[in-house]
Amino acid sequence: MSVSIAIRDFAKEFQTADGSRLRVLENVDLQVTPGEFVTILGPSGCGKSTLLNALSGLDTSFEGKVEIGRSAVGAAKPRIAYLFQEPRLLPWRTVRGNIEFALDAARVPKLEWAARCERWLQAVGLASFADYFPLQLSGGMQQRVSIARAFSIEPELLLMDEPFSALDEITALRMRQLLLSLWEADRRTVLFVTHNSLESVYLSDRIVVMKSGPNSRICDEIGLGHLRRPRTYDDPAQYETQRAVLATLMRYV
Amino acid sequence: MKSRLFAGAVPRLASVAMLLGIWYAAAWMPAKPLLPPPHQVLIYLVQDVQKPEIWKHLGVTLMRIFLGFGLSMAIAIPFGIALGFSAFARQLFGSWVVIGLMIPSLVFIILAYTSIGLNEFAAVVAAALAVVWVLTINIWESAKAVDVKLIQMARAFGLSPIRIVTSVVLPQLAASLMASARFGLGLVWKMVLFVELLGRSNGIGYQIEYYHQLFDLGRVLEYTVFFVAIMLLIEVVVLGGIERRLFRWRPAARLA
Ligand SMILES: Nc1ncnc2c1ncn2[C@@H]1O[C@H](COP(=O)(O)OP(=O)(O)OP(=O)(O)O)[C@@H](O)[C@H]1O
Ligand SMILES: [Mg+2]
Repeated sequence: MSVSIAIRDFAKEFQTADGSRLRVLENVDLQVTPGEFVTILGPSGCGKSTLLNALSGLDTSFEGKVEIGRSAVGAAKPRIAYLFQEPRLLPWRTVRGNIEFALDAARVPKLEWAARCERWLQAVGLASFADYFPLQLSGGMQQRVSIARAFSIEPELLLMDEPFSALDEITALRMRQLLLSLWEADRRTVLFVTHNSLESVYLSDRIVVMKSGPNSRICDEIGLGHLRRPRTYDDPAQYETQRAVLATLMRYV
Repeated sequence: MKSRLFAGAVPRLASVAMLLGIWYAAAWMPAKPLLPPPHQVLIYLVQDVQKPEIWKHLGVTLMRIFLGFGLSMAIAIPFGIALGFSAFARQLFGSWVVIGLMIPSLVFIILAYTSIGLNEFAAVVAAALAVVWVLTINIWESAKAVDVKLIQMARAFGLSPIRIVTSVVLPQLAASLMASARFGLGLVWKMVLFVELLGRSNGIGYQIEYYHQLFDLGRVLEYTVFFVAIMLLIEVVVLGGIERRLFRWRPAARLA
């Protein structure tokens, strides 16, 4: 069901406006095992989105190797869902229409659409809003639709690029709980990007820390195996760990 | 409700009254014996709409308008989108569009008639050639405003490039395409009258020219009023209806 990720000696350059080349990432190495929840923590502008874009296939012009699970074996392309900072829903389609859009794109047989819409809208608590248009929903509800959309294709890999950073604190707390409860049901591989250390500790199995760019790379790694699941917000061990994570992060900015 | 419906009723009525007043004044000026008063035109109109003749001319003209309009949109949409998205297309065709825009419509009409012949096909091509450039620029401009983030989202979910155009790009363009369509239709119908006048022997444009030759300004105005009324109806009822249906999802529709 889920896939592994292997990134080896990854590097990425951008052409800047004045014609020179900006080497954003260099020597990036990262292994993720199937079903693992890994968070990339790093300061703004270090190249986190750049890395996710390469993984998602949106960007194909990079140096190094990016392998996702069974794609190396030559099987069908792995199913990837990408959650962005903004919901990125199609405003002219209803909530259901947006989920069907993803199901269609991911080539899920039409017969399954109704059941999947139902199931995942239920899961994010929006079953009664299926026929609403996105602009009729609040920002938090829109982001929940986009979570339902991501899960509905039953991805083998979930890429999340600061999906909760634009939400208010209370909504963000609820969304993280929701995300974990969905994820724990059938652990898919997750690569989650954030610059919020508390969020990274609450959610993941492992945190990798990137230093500030340019020439950014993964420079540290913190395992969170000692924090039991299901996680709660009031676990003191988490606060201890968060302080350590923050201290690590500060060393590389 | 009531206040909204009748808001501005007084100035609107005054505006119509003023227009008619100016027309009457002009008609009764001794130096202009040819301009008939509005009620004369109305009488002509009421008489003529009961005869098949005017409807026949309307039919041919409408046919030319819709074919010319369809042809120009069919060219302008793909080219406009390509110009908006591809630097290669811009290098290849960008200057064509700018030059095309500079060439007077009259030249296109003459070119179409002389190279294709004095026939229906040439008339449609002439009308389309006269407006396709400005439509292309219009669509090109709106293609620049398409939200790249939605395209990325669709690509990340694995949608094929063709489907991205049809399901993500075109719906975003729909609003500006609609505006271009309205604008284009307005242009095409003016061009078609011109095209008819220069090389056809039927249609509203031909009739207007015919009565002009006879110095029958009343009939000229009658055909004009008749035609403008029909086009207004198409514009408001047909295009307006499509627009309302197409943009149900907009927040404005929700507030209404
Ligand atoms: N298309 C591009 N062209 C040129 N430079 C780019 C492009 N995309 C990103 N960059 C540069 O690459 C660097 C990394 O960008 P990226 O968006 O990956 O950062 P990030 O880690 O996701 O930051 P944030 O946390 O703020 O989202 C930045 O310095 C940015 O200016
Ligand atoms: Mg980013």
